[in-house]
Amino acid sequence: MGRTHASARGFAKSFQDKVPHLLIKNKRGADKFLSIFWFLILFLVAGAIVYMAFLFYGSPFNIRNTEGQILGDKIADCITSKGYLNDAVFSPEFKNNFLDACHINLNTEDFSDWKNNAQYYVGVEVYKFDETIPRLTGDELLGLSAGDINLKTAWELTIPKTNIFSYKRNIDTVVIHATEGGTALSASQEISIQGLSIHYMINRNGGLISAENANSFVPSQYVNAFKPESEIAQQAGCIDTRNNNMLIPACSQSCVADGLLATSCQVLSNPPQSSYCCINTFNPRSIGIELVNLGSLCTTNQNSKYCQGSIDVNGEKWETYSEAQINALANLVSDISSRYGLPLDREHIIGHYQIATHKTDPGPAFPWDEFMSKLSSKQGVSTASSILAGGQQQRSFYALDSGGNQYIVKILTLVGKIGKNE
Amino acid sequence: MNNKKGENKKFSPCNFYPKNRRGATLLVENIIFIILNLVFIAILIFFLISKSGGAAVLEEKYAKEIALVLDSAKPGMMITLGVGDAIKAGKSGLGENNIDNIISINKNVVTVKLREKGEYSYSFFNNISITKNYLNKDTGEYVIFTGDYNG
Repeated sequence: MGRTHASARGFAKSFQDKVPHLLIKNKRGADKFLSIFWFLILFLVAGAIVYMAFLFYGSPFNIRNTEGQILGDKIADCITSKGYLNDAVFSPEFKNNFLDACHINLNTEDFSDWKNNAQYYVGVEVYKFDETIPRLTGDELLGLSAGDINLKTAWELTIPKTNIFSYKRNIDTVVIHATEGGTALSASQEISIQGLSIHYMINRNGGLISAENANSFVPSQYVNAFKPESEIAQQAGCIDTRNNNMLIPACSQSCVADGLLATSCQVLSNPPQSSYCCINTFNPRSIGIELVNLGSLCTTNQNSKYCQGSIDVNGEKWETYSEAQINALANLVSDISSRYGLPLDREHIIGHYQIATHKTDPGPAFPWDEFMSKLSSKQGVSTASSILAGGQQQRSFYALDSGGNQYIVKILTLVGKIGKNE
Repeated sequence: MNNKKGENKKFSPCNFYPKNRRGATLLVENIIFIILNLVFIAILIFFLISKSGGAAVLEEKYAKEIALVLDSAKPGMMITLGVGDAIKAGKSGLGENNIDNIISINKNVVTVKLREKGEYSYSFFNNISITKNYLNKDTGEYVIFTGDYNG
């Protein structure tokens, strides 16, 4: 103890020699370090307070939620009155100019450079009410929308469907596929023609295609290749569409381990059809994501241009996945995981090959380790929520027409605009 | 001034400090220390108050509140808004005689300007026409009259 005091005094003395005015002596001449350290702490606290003040007052005063509510009220008042549908709602004039008819002007983007920013999205859907249908699929009588579609895509990715009319499936698996085709367009065409479907497709550049924005990427006749998350997509079933829709038999118990194909059951190269097997339980409980990728490129003539940008696995070349694709996939799967409470592990994030022996996708070129590592770094992060920051309003209500028929009206308003500070 | 021993003690800055019974200086540095702390905290509080009532914050607040009111407005309304704080901030930021146009509404955009170098604009979606709007400096109110819907 005495040595400790002595060494502390020695340090204090040397310190005071160097910085004589920063230390104060007490009446016995002992050194007091208190003052300088106290002020150091004060400055740290003050710095933190100043930083927080700038952070708080520097962030926008958020009224998007109220704006979304007012916008929704305005549209609801326009479409219905005292519980009755406006007679003009189904007229072509109303459909073509519903914003004008509802006295809404979303074109304020023209002010300065606001046109570059997402401002509003308005969507209206009217369904014929049928109490025998537990969810609303395909019986939409009227669909109107205006504004920035990207806001809706962001909302679809982020917001749990809490609406009482939407049907939320119990999702416990994400199945990753590869298109084995060159472009999103050709893949969508193939999927659509075969009567299959998918929830999401990710382009080579990381662009995301879903049921919400498919119209912008593929011709209208192939849009049915994309299903919203709330609907089952035919993407992980046991029908071999390339072989006369042959039903592939269920895998035997010995081939299934923990709900997935056991390694010993993997058939890697051209197995006889009789050896195919499949686990036929994943479509209803999974979300399917296609990655645009050519898959296997070549086994011979490996110097050809088709073999460029590929990796070699057992003498076979496979097209590599782009970094943008892997990043986009990690963002999307992280988002799905946060909404459905899905564990981010290889039992819940699987490749198509893990549930069907006649499939290899996403293939040996898919960087599982890198992808899972990126995914774990995003755990709990909802990627699209910051785009909207509370400006979404969704409502559903019943209405009657003059003939007494019942309808359900769904209104979605999204406000993602910002102010202009000059 | 005589002490107990009858010695005359002249006034000096050193003698002004309170002494304990051993004659040692009593915590002078502590008094300075406390004063410095108080000054420090006062500066911090002043900073927070000035930041919260700053012109930039008020501009954003008023622009958005007026936009919200106009989003909800119906034809034929007279809307009166209390903007006393904005007038006060405008007077100090732009000068006593330059506050007539601190709030302007043009083509679905509300702009509030309370500083020489800066302003804040926010849009509203209600396609309603504004027939008249003015600032009443005496009452600290901003009055808006709405006309029919545009188009």
